[in-house]
Amino acid sequence: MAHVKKRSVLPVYFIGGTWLLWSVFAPLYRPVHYIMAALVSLIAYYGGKMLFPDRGYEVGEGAQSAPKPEARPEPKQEAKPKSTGNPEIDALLAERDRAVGEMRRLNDSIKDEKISRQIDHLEATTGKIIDTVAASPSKLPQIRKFMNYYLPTTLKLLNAYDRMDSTGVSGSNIDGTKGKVEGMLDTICAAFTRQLDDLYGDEAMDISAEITVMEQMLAQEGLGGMTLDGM
Amino acid sequence: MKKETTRKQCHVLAVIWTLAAAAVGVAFVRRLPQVHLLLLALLALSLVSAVSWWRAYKMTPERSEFDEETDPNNNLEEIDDE
Repeated sequence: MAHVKKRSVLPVYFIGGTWLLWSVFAPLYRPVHYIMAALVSLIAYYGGKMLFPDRGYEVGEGAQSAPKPEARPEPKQEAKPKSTGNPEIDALLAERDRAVGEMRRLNDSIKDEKISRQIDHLEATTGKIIDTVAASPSKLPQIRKFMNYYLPTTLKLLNAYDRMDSTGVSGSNIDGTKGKVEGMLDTICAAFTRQLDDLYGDEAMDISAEITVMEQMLAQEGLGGMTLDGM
Repeated sequence: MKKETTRKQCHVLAVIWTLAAAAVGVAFVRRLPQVHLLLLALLALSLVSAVSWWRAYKMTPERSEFDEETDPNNNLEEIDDE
C-alpha cells in the first residue's frame, strides 16, 4: 500500500492574491512595506492551508514505487543534463529524455522486427530534432506542433500497439488496430524525418545564396569555371 | 535530486508571477507621476519571470499516455490544480 499526498494549490494562490490586494489598498514602495506584505501573505498561506488541507489516500494496487517521492526510483533521469538557464529548453530536454526513454521501453517490449527498426528510427530522429532546437532556440516555434501533438500521439499509438500485442490473442479489433498502427508508422517515420529536415531550411537557403554569390565572384575574377552569362 | 517541473507546476508558478507582476504594476501606477525606479525594475523582472513560466507551461506537453504507464498509481506528490 502506498500513501499518496495531494497538496492543494489554493494556499499558494492566496499568497499572490494577498500581494495584489496589498498593492491596491496599502503602500508598496519601501522595504518595510514588502516585509509587512510578506508576513501577511504568509498568514494568508497558512490560513489557506487550514481551509484547504492536504489530502492523503492509500493506493492499493501495484505500488511499485515507494510511498515517499524522495525514495521513488527514477531510472530515466540518471543522465539528466544540467540546466541550460532557459526554462523552455530545459523543459524540452526533459521531454526528450522522457520520450526517448519511453520509446526504448516500447522497443524492448515489442518483438516485431520491422516495428523495432521503426522505433529505433523515431528515437534517433526525435533526439536529433530536439538537440538541433536546443542548440538553436530560435527554431523552437517550428516544433511546437511536433512536441504538443505528433510526438505524444505517436507514443500513444505505440503504447496501444504494445498493450494489444501483449494480450497474445487475435481478434478483429486487436488485429485491425495493430494493422492500422503498423501502416501509420511508415508515415510517421517519414514525417519525423521531414520535420528534422525542415529545421535546416533556413540554413539551406543561406548556404545556397552564399554559393551563388561566391560562384559569381569567382566568375568575375576569372577564377571559376563559368562565365557570368554562361551559367 | 531536483524533480523536473511538471506542466501543473509551471502553471502555478506562471500564475504566481503574474499576480506578483500585477501587484508591482499597481504599486508603480499608484506612485505616478513620481517614477519609482525600484518598482519599475521589479515590474520588469516579474514580467520576464511570468512570461518565461507561461512559455514553459505551453512548451511542456500534457501528461501523456506514457506518464500513465510509468507512474500508473500517480505516486508523485503533486499539487492538485483545483
